[in-house]
Amino acid sequence: MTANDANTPVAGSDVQTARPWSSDELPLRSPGEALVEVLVELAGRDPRLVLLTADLAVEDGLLPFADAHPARFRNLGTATRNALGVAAGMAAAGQIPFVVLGGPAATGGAADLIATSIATTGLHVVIAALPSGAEAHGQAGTAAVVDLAALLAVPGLLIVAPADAVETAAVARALIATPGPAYLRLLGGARPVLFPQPAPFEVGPVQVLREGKALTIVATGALVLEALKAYEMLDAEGLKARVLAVPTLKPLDEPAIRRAARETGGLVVAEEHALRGGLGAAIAQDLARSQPVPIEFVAIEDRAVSGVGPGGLRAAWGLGAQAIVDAARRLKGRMR
Amino acid sequence: MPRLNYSPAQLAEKALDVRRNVVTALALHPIMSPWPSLAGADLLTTLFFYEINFKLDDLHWPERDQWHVSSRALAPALHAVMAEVGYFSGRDLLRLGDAGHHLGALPSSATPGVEVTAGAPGAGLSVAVGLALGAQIDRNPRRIYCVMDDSEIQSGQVWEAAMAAAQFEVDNLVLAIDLDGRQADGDIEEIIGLAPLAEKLRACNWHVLEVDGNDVAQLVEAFDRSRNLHRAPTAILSCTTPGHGVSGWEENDAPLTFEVAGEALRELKTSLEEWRQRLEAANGRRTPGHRAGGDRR
Repeated sequence: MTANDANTPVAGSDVQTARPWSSDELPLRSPGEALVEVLVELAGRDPRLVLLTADLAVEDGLLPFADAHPARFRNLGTATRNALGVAAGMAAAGQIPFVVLGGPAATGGAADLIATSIATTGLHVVIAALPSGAEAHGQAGTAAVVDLAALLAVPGLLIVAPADAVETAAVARALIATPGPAYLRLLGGARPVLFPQPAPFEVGPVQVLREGKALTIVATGALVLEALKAYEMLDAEGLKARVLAVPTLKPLDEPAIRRAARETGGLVVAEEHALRGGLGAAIAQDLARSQPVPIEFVAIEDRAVSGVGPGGLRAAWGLGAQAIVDAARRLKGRMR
Repeated sequence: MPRLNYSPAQLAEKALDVRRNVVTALALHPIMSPWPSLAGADLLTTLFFYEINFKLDDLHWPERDQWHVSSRALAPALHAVMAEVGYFSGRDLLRLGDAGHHLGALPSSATPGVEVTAGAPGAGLSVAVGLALGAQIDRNPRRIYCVMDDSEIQSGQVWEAAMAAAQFEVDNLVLAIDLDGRQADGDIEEIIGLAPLAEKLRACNWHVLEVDGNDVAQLVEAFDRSRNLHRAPTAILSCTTPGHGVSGWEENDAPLTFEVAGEALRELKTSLEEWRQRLEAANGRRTPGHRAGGDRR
């Protein structure tokens, strides 16, 4: 198989996106809403499923679950650390706790509990950060953009970042069916649907969304959409990029990323996360010892941003299709 | 006969064995201070040999009570009691802290019978509240026991969990706190004091029982009473003396030396060699030791 065979299936390429493709035409859907729908449905079949939250029932739209399954919903107030500990206990009592927390609370203030109270024992608890990434409930300081730096280092923790509402629902089903601790990085608000056909989510494989051999764009979460836009912009310049979506951040599909590095010669890694300690760092570490190639990063540079409202963070941090295109040009310059 | 239901006289005798186990194991592997465990030995002995429902040959028996020892300082006492019950062999206890061995410096789910590994100081009450909520939602009549030491109560998460337990009225939950008044850096009341702890917990809408935690009869009575307290969780404040049963902790507030351990074991009416040999010979879970214990009454 070569990269030239645009239609040749590669591991994980079963996910189809609309083609020809324009982001303006994509329907919008809220990942949080999709999640709650799935949880209501699954709790109707599995009496072990319980939903816990920390004062986000209204803001994160969890009330339909509380109405449908009041006995299996608990609001722990703003006490995030306690919510995670309670989830550990409920898992040890035989339940499957799904914990919805604000992104920074889940990880900044309580990452140690995910590691010690939950992951060390391998308990089946799913922790969802909603919203994560650049979408904050408040200002820059409350956006969840350093979570991966803490959690990628936790042994045994599954980490998944779906790119739209349809995938979010599929991921929730998969994580509830997969024993063991998991962290779910969820997008807030209404988001363009990239994967209109619901399909069972397979934990692990990267998804090859576009074939190409000039370079590879690796993206996760909200930046999968931006990577697809960047693909079109680069295509107009005559540059065919391969686009990989990485929904499973841990365990990382290292073989597929190494193959892309080998076949295209260079990577742009795009994520809504701090440059230090995120997906880009994980990929760079792996490729440094397996398949060294030039890599450019689209991530949050190591500088403080203040005075920017929630809607403006993505732009202030320079996280978008144009940044990916710029990074691709820098990459091609280095690859010459 | 799922509860061992020992009499106070039997408990006192067993607690002496537990103290001998603590000193012997920590003399051979001085990984941490023995004094908190000597203080809490009566509480943990009473919990396992009197109070809890369990089956040694079926650790996941659905009707078992669940317990979570949050305290790291009390880990040696927990392991010493579990060896006496027969969760693992006496030889296992002699390997306390060996690299790769399941018994270390904190209660770990690698040890048979431990359901959740202890987390950060103060994190355990949340886990116990989760266990209690789980039983409440499942309508499982089991009871939940959380054991903490007093230094943990300084942690804010304890109070998050205490408020949640009261809010959800988990009256299947008993929190037993060993109050020996000491923490790593000195006297608790001189660092960040807890007093008046009973009033604080009552203000959080808890039932509170205060006992001399080095008197097994008082501990038995407190556990008995806790089963009849409803609509709120119960805290047993178990006031103890560091190093109870052995003199000299004030001069030796540190991991054991052989010399100090030898003195301690003399006070406990045995010797390092005698007790090491007894532990070498003590069998673990495959023997029906559990039932034999229950028949003693």
